[in-house]
Amino acid sequence: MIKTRFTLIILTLAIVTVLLTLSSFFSKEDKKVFIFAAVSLTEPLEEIKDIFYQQNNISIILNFGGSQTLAAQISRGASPDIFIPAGMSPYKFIKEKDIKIYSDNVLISNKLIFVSNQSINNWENLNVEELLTSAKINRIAIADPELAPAGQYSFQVLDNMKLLTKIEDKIIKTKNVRDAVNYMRLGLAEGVFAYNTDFNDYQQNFNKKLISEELYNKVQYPLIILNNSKDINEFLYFLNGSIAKDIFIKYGFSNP
Amino acid sequence: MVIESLILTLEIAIIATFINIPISFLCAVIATRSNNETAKFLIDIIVSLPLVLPPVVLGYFLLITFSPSGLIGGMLDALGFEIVFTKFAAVLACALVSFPLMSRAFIISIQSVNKDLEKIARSLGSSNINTFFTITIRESKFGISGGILLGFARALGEFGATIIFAGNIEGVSRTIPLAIFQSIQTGDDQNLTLLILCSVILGILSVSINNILIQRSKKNK
Repeated sequence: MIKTRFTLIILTLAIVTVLLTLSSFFSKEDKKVFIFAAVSLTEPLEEIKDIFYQQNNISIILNFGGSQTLAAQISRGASPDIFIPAGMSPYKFIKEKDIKIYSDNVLISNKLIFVSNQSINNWENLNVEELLTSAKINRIAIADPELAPAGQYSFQVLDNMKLLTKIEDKIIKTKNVRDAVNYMRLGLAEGVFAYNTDFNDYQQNFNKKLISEELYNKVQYPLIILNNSKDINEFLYFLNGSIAKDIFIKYGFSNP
Repeated sequence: MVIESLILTLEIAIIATFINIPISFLCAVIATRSNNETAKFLIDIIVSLPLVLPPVVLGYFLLITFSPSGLIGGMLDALGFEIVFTKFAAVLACALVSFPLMSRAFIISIQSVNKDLEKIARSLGSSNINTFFTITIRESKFGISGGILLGFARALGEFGATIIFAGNIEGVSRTIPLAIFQSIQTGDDQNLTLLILCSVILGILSVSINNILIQRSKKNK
């Protein structure tokens, strides 16, 4: 009796498993436009995907990851239709690997800011140099320039301000820019270099300061097209249109 | 987002577990009942390697093997199948990473079965296969169910191999661990709390069931 019941349970589970596996294969069928994008683009792209689906009935599959990881996956045989990394270096990387690229243009750009969790008197009137050297800011989290474009821009700023040797001891390098932000949120650092778009979600109020754009190369997000189809063209048209642009600007990005 | 990734995680972990059960049995039988030393040695490596290699490395191996330019991926591509960045890729990643935990538990529990019982069964005319199902599995059933559970629990938490081989795609490969990663990266604190709660509850459940099984197996002896 017990034995038959056990067999029955196992059989049911096995059948459910087979059905689930089959369903997963069928769900692949409606894959239309496959996009690899930097994690920092999650919110605007998900919003754009929904609106685009409502208007055109074409589904967009989004895969988010670190730009350099995604570039490495593409060079190892992953084949998305569109690739939107944060910054130009992942683009150079796949170009060097002889990946076939149909076309490209700059989609949007971003700005660098310095943010602190400390209440510093007269924040509005102080300049970035005074903030970075302030006694209240002992640790500054910055993305590692070898791993993240954000780090390259940040160090470029410090270099151009001739501050690198002066505040070298304060710098904590992190894996990516979001980790740097989290370091500051958790109190492991008093200041952080981040993108203007990195603070959309947080309830807490931090002190922010835009960094002069003359101090670093423009932070551009290239739109790289790796495949060609009617659906892809339809989406590209939408992505370069005003509805999509407004969504990007809502989340703090700027026009290229 | 939370419910969707919870269901997806369970679905992927269940399928991965079912793929692993027969393979783990095969490995366990060879490791414990074979007289061929080379076979035993090879099985030992197969069973240990995924345990000691970082999951990211396993994911990378899977990626280069199953991508259209890879060895197996090329053949599948010619037949019209694509594996990389699908739900099936997530299943394979989970299966590979949880495989050593299950098969090692199987090996240990089958090792502890009294071989005399099997000999007696065979001397009474039972076939090898029949003996395996009626004596070996029966005697080690608590260890085996513990191993299945352990593999399942490991599959629930799989991250490194999945994100490399199956990506981080909503509804396809964004299981709870990947959704947690995504929430940390985007600063989505609300979902993050819920997701962490989910994974803690799943963890407590698996460990508790495993403990109950261990206690029952002790009572039986």
